Amino acid sequence: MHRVTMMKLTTWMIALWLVGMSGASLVAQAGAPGATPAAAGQAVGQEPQDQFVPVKSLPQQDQLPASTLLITAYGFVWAVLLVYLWTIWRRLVKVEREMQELSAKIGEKSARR
Amino acid sequence: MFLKVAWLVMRKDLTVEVRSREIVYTTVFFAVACVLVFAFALVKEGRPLEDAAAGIMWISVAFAGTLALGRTFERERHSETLRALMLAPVSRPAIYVGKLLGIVLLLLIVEAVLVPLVGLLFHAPIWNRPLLLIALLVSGTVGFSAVGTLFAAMLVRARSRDVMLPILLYPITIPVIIAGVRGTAALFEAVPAVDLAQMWLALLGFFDVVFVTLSLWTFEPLMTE
Amino acid sequence: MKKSYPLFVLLAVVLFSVAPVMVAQAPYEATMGLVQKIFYYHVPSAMVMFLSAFICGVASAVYLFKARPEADRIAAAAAELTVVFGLIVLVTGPLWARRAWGVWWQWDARLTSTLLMWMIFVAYLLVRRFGGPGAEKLGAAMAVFGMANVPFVYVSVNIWRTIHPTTRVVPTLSPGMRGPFWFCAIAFMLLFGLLLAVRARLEQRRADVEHLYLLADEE
Repeated sequence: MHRVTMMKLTTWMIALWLVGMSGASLVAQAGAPGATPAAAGQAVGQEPQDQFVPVKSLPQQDQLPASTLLITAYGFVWAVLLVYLWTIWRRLVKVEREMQELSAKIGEKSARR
Repeated sequence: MFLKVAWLVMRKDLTVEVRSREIVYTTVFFAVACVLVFAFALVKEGRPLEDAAAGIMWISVAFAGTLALGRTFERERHSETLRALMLAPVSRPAIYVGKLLGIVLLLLIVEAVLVPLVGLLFHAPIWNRPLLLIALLVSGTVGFSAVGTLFAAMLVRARSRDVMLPILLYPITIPVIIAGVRGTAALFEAVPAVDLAQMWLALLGFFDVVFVTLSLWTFEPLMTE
Repeated sequence: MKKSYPLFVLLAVVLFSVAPVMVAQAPYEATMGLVQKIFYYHVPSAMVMFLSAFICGVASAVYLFKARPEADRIAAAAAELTVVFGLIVLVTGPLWARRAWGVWWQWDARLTSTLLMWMIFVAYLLVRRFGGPGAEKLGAAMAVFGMANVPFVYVSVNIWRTIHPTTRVVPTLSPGMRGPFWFCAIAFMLLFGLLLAVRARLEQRRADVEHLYLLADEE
């Protein structure tokens, strides 16, 4: 019974939302035809990029300062992944050691009996 | 039946609260203190930062709400009434809705005090579009409270519950606060940007639906041992 | 360890070794130049972060509703990976942005929502560690909300005018860039699969140890 209630509720919610959204968008459109969420974001004076345009080579002045950032970025990725792998390795070793100690202890106890 | 149970749970909370009025008074006072602290901290040439009105109001609601949630459920835990509620042969989501309505009502009372205060301190034009402002406040409060009620109920039996609630609650509800602030700020401008406020209101409505649905869905398995 | 692990590890190592070569050969982008090459690690990491968040959410839902402990283990592993790859995205992004937009950070819809989603999964790890008994369920609830965030974060850049590029970039990559990009994407996905399996196995060993502790105490 509870499952049916949940599904009913979910359906009501979705229906309410659809009605609400269509209502809100109708009102919004009636209010100002040119309104977009644009002003709500950051007006930085730049269009977001839609495409990456490739070129063959770069003008000379753009090359050097960016390489520090590039190397730091790649280096960071490698560092994080390696450190993470190391933490997993360390934890795995610890757990395996505990496993062995416990198995030995249990083995002793049952041997004694 | 569902609505009846929710109504009964809410009425129980209301009755308890009306007798002592402890949580209402202290939460309202805390929220007012918050607004004042922010206003004083952001003073420039003897006047508070007027553009900050919407942000300060919503932050104070969020802080006060977090405290109120903690204390409401602490009260349940103290009297062990939560277990009684869970044992009752009623649909669990109905209990959740009842609690949610209680919290929303409490926060709406807080907002009823804060909005005129903010209008006074920051010269904010709160009477510009009152219905839209109320709609923003209600939908933002519902979104915040939906997640808050779920987590506060879950945390009743957890360790370090007081510090856990903000940790869990804020990353999820910050989008609701952002939408509330941006919508309210749009209304508080000299020439209110109504279409913008409506866009944020629509987004708040979307958050409300998603959060309430998810909370209803997960409330039962979370409260079962 | 399963028999196939070493093979996949080798494959991942090979892929990651070749990747920088491929990236170096890719053409430069017209407006951003050399720094755009961070793209080849930034976007695949973001894809992995979304995938990981999604897996965590689904596993958490299964754990909440079916109470299967394996689901909880996968969720715990996936949450950790979401935080790791999210960290990569949130650091490589600003390094790129410093050059491309002139600022380290901008509170636009995409960056803000990504940061918040990352914080949800950090909170997941915190609650599992410090929440006391029953913390797995608390975390599971967080993960369900975190998963609901994923489509929102993805779509945020299309709905709002953001400084972050839109999702149309990847489908419209030029052939020179497409190769290295998908190569890196596959490498990252493979790495993710491996890490998830290994981390879930660690959780399983931990559960086994708990079980053994109980047995040892019984006697």
